[in-house]
Amino acid sequence: MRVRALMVRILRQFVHDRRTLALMFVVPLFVLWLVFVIFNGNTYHPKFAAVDVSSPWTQALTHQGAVVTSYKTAADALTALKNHQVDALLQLNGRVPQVELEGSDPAQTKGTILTLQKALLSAMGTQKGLPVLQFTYLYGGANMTSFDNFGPVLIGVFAFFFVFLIAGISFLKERTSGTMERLMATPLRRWEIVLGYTAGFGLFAAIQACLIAWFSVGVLGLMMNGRLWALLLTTLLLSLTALTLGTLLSAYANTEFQMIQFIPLVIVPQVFFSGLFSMDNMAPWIRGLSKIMPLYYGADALRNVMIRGLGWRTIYPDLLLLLALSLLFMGLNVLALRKYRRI
Amino acid sequence: MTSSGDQGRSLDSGEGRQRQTSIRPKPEWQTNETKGMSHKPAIMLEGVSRQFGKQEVLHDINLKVHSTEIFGLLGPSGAGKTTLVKMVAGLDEPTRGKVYVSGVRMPALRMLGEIGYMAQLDALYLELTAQENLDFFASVFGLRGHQKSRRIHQVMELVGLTVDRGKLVSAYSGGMKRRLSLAIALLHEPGILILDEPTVGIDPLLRKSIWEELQALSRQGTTLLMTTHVMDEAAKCHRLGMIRGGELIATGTPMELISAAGVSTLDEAFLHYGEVKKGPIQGGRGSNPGTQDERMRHSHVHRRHPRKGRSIDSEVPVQDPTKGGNGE
Repeated sequence: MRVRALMVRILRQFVHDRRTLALMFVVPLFVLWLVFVIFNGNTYHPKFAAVDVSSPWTQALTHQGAVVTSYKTAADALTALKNHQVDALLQLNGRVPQVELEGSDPAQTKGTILTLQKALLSAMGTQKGLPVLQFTYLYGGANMTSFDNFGPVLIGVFAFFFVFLIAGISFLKERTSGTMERLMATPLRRWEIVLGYTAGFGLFAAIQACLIAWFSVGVLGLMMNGRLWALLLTTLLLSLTALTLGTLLSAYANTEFQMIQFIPLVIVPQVFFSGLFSMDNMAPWIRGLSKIMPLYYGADALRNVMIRGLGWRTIYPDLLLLLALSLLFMGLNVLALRKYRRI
Repeated sequence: MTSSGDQGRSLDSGEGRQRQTSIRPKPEWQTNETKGMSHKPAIMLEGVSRQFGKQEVLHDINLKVHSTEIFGLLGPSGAGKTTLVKMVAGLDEPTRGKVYVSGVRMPALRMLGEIGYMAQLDALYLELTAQENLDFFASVFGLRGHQKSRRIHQVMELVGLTVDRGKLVSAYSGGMKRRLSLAIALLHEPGILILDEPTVGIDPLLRKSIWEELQALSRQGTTLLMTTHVMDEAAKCHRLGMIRGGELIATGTPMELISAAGVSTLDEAFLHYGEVKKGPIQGGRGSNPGTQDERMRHSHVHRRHPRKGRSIDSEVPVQDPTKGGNGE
């Protein structure tokens, strides 16, 4: 009953505060869309400047999706390279192909080399009758974009970040405005306050989770090989963890500004360790840090569901861990509220 | 509020209901005496000290507030008034000593439903309407349905906010917020009402009507503990406790304090006790039954001599503190 009163109050506060509502519902979609636009452009087609190169070469390159422009002299081609008109200069020094790369962007450089190698391989294969490599995919596929790869992680990041911030600041406001003390002068129990907050904000977190899932899969066409309920459940549990962590940490902030200071401390490291960046090259002890970060488990489960199409049997350890973390944070928050009233 | 007699105190104990009905016939105080209400003080502090770090904010406070009385804590800012009432409200605990409300050692969760607390800071949800604020607190106190809407209506009438109940609290003026805070404290008809500077920022006319209501509540059986530093308000309290630097330096009716200090106004008495700061002057504990108005009319004051501890009747010429003090 009292928990419900708290829930209803939070609901009404949200209804009156349209801007916060927008921050929670519209902004994640907008940012997701931005990321989609930036990373989901067609795969990069490297541009070559060819000087005195025979047609089988240019044909092989064009077949691999490269743009090949022929230049009369090496000097002209070099100028084009310097002006960023092309990514590589290709010339045949007798029988040996010579390639000069622009080289200032590692990703472009790698793409250029890869295209070149593929062209070389296929050209040689047709000439000498070598077997052409056949690729099949266990997960994903040839058409998978980089947005498909880190999209699931982004869903997790946004679900986490906005809920963390809004729930944390709301709970903090309850303390700075004196209403927390006022609540403590009522028969509300400490656990009822924490539960009421979790339930009230949890409702909005659930709506947000549904919105983000619908938008990224239905509108942006993010790769989705698993079940929808698994995606929703994972997002919701991740939001719940963010919600309980945010309200807990707000006990250690005295102002909204201090709450913002938790972002570089709590959110940013989690984004680094969530799998947006490959962790394979990290030192093992640093990699171990990810094990204490909720976002790591959420992102792991999301990738398993969306990219690999796996279900409950694979993701349940992640989900149980998120649930356990949420309960832990709630419990700690009930204890932290002892600051206001011992009983 | 005139209709409080018929609304029934659902939250109250059977004792409370009995108290209310038994209170109807005059004279009220005598009725209470026969009921034995004043044997158990509504609020009792025993050797209460409160330290924050090394700073001692309250030192060895002993205080009894009797049932149905309006007790005012008078003292300059920083004297420890708020700390004291917070301990009674269950929001803080003494470093040493004990606090009892209706005989129950505080803090006790089961007593919180019996206490109405109005904090010094208006603890309101600014992004909600006044109505929604009341609705929330009413639900927290377990009011529901018909009873809830009736109580909300009553308290809003009382503080004169009925017309503005649909406005967002963020659009309220300081005085309106103060009144809404008071309304919230009254919502669940608490037997014990703790008000921390209740009438700051409220205009004289409304303050008068609020005071009339507080006096009516006291007559109906509510015990009131309030802090103030406004003298004309202090004069309306049945008894006063003067706090200076964390010590309770004097308690008694306004008249007792004035006469014991040998001065003619409460202002002077306040200054007097601040300077002397002798041993506490225990003034008429239950010694002066009768309503506040009665007491104000007579300048016949009953007080206990600070040292000898025996009662003396004295005729002290004093001005009526209720008159001419409303202006501020």
